[in-house]
Amino acid sequence: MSELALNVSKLTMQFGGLKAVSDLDLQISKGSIFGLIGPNGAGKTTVFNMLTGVYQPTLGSIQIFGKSSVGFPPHKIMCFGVARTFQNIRLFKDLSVHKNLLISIDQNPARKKYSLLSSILRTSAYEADLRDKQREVKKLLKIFDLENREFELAKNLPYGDQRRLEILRAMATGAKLLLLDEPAAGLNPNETTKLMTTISHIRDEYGITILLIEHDMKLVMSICERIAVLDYGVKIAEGNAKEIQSNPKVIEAYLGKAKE
Amino acid sequence: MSHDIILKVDNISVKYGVIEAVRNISFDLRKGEILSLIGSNGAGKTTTLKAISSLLPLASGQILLRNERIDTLQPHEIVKRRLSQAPEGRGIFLNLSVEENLDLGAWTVKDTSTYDRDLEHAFELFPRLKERRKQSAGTLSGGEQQMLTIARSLMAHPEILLLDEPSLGLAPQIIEAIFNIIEKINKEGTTVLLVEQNALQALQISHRGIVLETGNIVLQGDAKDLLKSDEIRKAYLGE
Ligand SMILES: Nc1ncnc2c1ncn2[C@@H]1O[C@H](COP(=O)(O)OP(=O)(O)OP(=O)(O)O)[C@@H](O)[C@H]1O
Ligand SMILES: Nc1ncnc2c1ncn2[C@@H]1O[C@H](COP(=O)(O)OP(=O)(O)OP(=O)(O)O)[C@@H](O)[C@H]1O
Ligand SMILES: [Mg+2]
Ligand SMILES: [Mg+2]
Repeated sequence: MSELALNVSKLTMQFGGLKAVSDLDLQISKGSIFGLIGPNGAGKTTVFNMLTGVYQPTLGSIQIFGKSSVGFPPHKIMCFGVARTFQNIRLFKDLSVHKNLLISIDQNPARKKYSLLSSILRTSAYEADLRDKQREVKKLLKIFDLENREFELAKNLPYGDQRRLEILRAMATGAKLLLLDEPAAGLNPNETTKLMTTISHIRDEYGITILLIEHDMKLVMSICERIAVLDYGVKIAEGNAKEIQSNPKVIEAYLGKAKE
Repeated sequence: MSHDIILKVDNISVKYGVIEAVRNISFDLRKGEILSLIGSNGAGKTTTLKAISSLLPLASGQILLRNERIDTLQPHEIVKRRLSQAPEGRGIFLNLSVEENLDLGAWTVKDTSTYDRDLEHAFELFPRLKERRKQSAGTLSGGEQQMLTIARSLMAHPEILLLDEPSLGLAPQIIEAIFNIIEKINKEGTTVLLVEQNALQALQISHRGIVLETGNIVLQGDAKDLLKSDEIRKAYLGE
């Protein structure tokens, strides 16, 4: 069996009387693109919230690259090599694109931290690190052709560019597992096609594993090698695009009758 | 649909600081129609809707609602004139419950039997919201929040409804339902100005369409004709 980026077992989240996620098992191989789909309110974002320590699961286990992450708060989750984007965009709205990325680069657990003293003294190692970070920002911006937006405030970007910046911020932490919550929301069909290419590129070029939530079926069915479907918190199907598209339970709960 | 003009956008420009996001655009909204505003990321669609709702000031030009100038009014004065907007990215009160949000949406409706009927109607359209009427809006799922945004804008009983990407974050089946709802309320008499990334579906239910590109109108016409245009199909319908 190939190595796992994520191994989740019996994961459950209860909010009062509501079981938002029940007994979920998920195995995601390293280097794959995996889709998590299902109706509104099915529990998809709740899964991300448990994977990133925003919620502590009521029950169940989570292993990220072989290490148990349950019990760690969101700001420690980076150390497991995972980062996410949010369905409702969360950028530092009043900071520039550049600064938004720098903050995430500084969160990369692999990066050496410099003391306040060395930053005041501007030691040569510190200076070299600064230059390295500037290069990293440029490299990231290039992925989405956002170089000309570098010094704009995040809040002034159109919605679609804010979505792109969110993905870059997650990548900037050095994460090897990216959790993308509806990356195509607010993009038009052409922009979505471009995003699909970019996501595949991120995986191919950087070997990053991707778990994504999306309602855009064209995107999911064309780039996800495996797909799991949640309905009322329960996994009702898992398989490749073909299997999912022809699964009667999935059609009933989510896809609806095929159009055209 | 008549040719009576209910809303006139007359040569408006909107600036953010020195950046001109919308440049001297003019168009009419006709009573009873669905008019779609399409265009890529950053084209100025949201900016245009916000200007109409007085959420942004005009740099030049004017906006007339039933021949009355409204660009100098406050946002709430515009809602009172029965023009309401379901904004992009929600704009609901996260600390309040589903029902309290719907309640606030109906602040212009004074009569309780109308209110009760509207609330029932909203819950019929979105049964999920009824199940969650006491849940605080901030803990709703993304799609549930979007349903609430739309339901709330309907509670104001608008004669003109501005919708900014109503299908955002919704499951495929619900998107179908949303477009059906828009058609239905339009048939019942509401004039609709619709912004959508989902340009194909939007144009399919629209009477007319306008294409914005970097703050300028580059094309407008009957939705049927726009759907046939190769240029549009390539640029916005993903073909
Ligand atoms: N803190 C909470 N308290 C109570 N209910 C909650 C809470 N968080 C989420 N829920 C409920 O749990 C269900 C699952 O929510 P979740 O956000 O995971 O859905 P989702 O699958 O991401 O849906 P969408 O596609 O609409 O984003 C929803 O019905 C939501 O209202
Ligand atoms: N608050 C702001 N300050 C400065 N510039 C802004 C602001 N809001 C929007 N802009 C700029 O104005 C232009 C038009 O933005 P607008 O949000 O109207 O686009 P849109 O057509 O709605 O795009 P999208 O499809 O991404 O929602 C963009 O170039 C954007 O960067
Ligand atoms: Mg969600
Ligand atoms: Mg917009």
